Amino acid sequence: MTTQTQSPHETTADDVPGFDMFKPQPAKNSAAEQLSRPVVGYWKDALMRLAKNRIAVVALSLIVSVALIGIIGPFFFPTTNDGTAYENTQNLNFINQGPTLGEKVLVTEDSPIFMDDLIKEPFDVSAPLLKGESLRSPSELKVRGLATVNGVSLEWEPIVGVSGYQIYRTVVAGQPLALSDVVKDASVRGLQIGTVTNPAQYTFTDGSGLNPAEKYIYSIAAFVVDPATQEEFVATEAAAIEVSLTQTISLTDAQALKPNVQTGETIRSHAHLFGTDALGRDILSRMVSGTRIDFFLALLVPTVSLLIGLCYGAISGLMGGKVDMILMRIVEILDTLPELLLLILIQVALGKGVGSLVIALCAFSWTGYARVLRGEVLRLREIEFVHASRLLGAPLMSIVFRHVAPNLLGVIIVMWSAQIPRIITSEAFLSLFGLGVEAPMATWGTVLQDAAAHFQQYPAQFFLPAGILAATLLAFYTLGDALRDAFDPKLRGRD
Amino acid sequence: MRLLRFILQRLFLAVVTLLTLFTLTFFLMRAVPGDPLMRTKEIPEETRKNLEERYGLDKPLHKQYLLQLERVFIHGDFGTSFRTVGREVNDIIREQFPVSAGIGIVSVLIGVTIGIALGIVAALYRNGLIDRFAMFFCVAGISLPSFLFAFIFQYGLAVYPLTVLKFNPDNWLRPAGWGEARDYIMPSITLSLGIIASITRMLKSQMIEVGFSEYVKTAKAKGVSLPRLVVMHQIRNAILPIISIIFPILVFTMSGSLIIEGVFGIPGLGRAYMTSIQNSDYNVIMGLTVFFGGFLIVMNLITDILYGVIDPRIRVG
Repeated sequence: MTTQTQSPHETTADDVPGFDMFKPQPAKNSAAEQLSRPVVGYWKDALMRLAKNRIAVVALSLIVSVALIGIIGPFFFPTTNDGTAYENTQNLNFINQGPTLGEKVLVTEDSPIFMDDLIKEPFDVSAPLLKGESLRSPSELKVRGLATVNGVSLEWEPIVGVSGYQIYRTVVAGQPLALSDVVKDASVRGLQIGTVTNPAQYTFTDGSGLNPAEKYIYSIAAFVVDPATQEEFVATEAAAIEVSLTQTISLTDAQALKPNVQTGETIRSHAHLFGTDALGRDILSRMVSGTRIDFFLALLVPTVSLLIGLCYGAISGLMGGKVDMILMRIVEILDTLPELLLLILIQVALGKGVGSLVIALCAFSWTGYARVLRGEVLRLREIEFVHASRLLGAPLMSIVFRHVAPNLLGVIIVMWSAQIPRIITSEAFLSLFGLGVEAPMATWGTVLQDAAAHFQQYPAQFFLPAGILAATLLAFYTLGDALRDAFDPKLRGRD
Repeated sequence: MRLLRFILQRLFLAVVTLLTLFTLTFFLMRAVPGDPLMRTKEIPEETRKNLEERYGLDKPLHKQYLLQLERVFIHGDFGTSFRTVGREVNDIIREQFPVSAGIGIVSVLIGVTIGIALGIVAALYRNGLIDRFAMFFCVAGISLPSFLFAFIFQYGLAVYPLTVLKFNPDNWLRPAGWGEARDYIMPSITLSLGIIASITRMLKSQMIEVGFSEYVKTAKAKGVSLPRLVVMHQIRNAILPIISIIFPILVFTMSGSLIIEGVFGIPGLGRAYMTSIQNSDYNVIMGLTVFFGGFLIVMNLITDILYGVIDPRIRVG
């Protein structure tokens, strides 16, 4: 008892007489004390609730499949001759095609054979000019050789006594246009694509702006020019012909599909499930490769804004006082700024590109996180374990990341997932403004922008990608709602 | 007294926000790489000097900033276009803003009317056919961007009937164009979808919440007839919060019209904005941003103050 420092008032077992006569009562292991069900933690509970939500599971599987196609898809793209990415490969033989599983196409030389204009001889050039009723157009218009995207060569019987021929072309797009209308009515003949001033010439080749997906009506009308007055008289009736172009593929492109193919053979072209755009690029492959950039942005931007907002909100909440007030006033001002306009402005200032998109999208989207997380921090900082940690002298940042952040995860996940569809929408929006990524690169927004340029003619080019975009947005939105319900059951069913 | 302080506080915040917007816009536009005077042709040194003097580009940056600040906020002058000589930004605003504002107001009127009706019906016939339709519609209307609807309507209501079904273009909707009453239809419907969706959703949940409240129960217990209960007790109280979101919705609608105007070929502020961006006409971009942004900020200010007047609880926060 030499080292005894206890106060004399303290009692020990030895001091109590007859202490050893007491025996501990054995604990009753009654059934009521047992936990009959497995312990379900916060996370497991949330996941279980999510898995029970059937719509959410469908949405999640849709998102996962789109993401997987985006990741794996590009590895299955066909190889190209010159090493450019398949989604950026232009092919002028296949512009503006509708969705197709591949068509039989004719293999032609790489450089198209130029067709010369032919002059009929002998021909009476100095014959008196036809006048009034007797002025007529050639009786028939024919296609010489093969009409392809490289050129349509027309042929007719020249007429003695005219000054020349006017040649027109119109597109048969959607509206049924009768040949007889074109013959009689000059207003539906379309664009005048050429004037032949030698009456003896009986061929003409049109090689500009042809589109293999279109049907054309060519028409020809003879005209005379009065030598005295220089007045021009055009025959009232024209000759017309409807021309569908033969799908061709250049030899080099064909050899990429089938190595030992020769010109003149037919082979099956690539399938374009979504069709091709105005430059002959495959739209599906552009969508697939665009998925990578869109999902990259959709994951990166919310994460970056979350980190900024978390630090900002945590500092504001934990420091309190004047700092808190000033920081929150700044957030308030930034929140009042028209976000869309500044998004556009930053993108104009920084120029196109993925990097500037990230900066522009992050610049103002962190304020929401900052505001909500500050509120959460204010709530959490009054909780005992944070007090204890402070008392023990833990640095501010360690409190933030050890104690506060893990308790914020539910709120964070809900906000984070809700931001994803907004980022995808903003990307599409900026691209429609022409402010997305650099030119050949494909995103969902640029695909839509390219299609929007001639949307009225080829609506499928717009609506198929737009359908993917809409389905993905709906899926993200439903999943976000489901996550909110799962993490915070109190909010369930509220809007 | 408290109200006055609240109003002054909001006013001060709005002014600071406006200044921030102006400053951000100014420096962002100056940060654009390249030369604002650059055109397709090389301009002679002499002309360039004259132009720089005229647009004040020869002065140091802080002087330019102050000059511009004075011009915009004291004289209300947003300057002239760099591209189209003599085109005043003020003229662009004067001519094109009423167009955008008109569409915005029509859309809000349509949206609020239909939204309120749909919200009430959806709440009264909960889980019925109309409710299910309305809820699906709400999800689509809120999560999908308005430009998607613009293209859908343009094709479905104008392009398809005109080209494929051969409707007479004289008495049917035009895919794009401006100047007649019929040209209001498609853009207004497009813009009103989002409004209908948000109002329906909000009103429905409000209606249901009010339905569970004590005073409705009391009224029911006292034997108030069902129509009177719904109209006088439920709807009247549920509709109140809707009023508070109408201004933000108007603001949102006006920004949403940026692309819609491009799609439907409407000569509004949104299209002027788009054109100026495509032409890199920095002075116009700046002027329109400050004007449009300023408009939105002022609208927000009005909403805030109105809230404060209507609901004293807001003033504290």
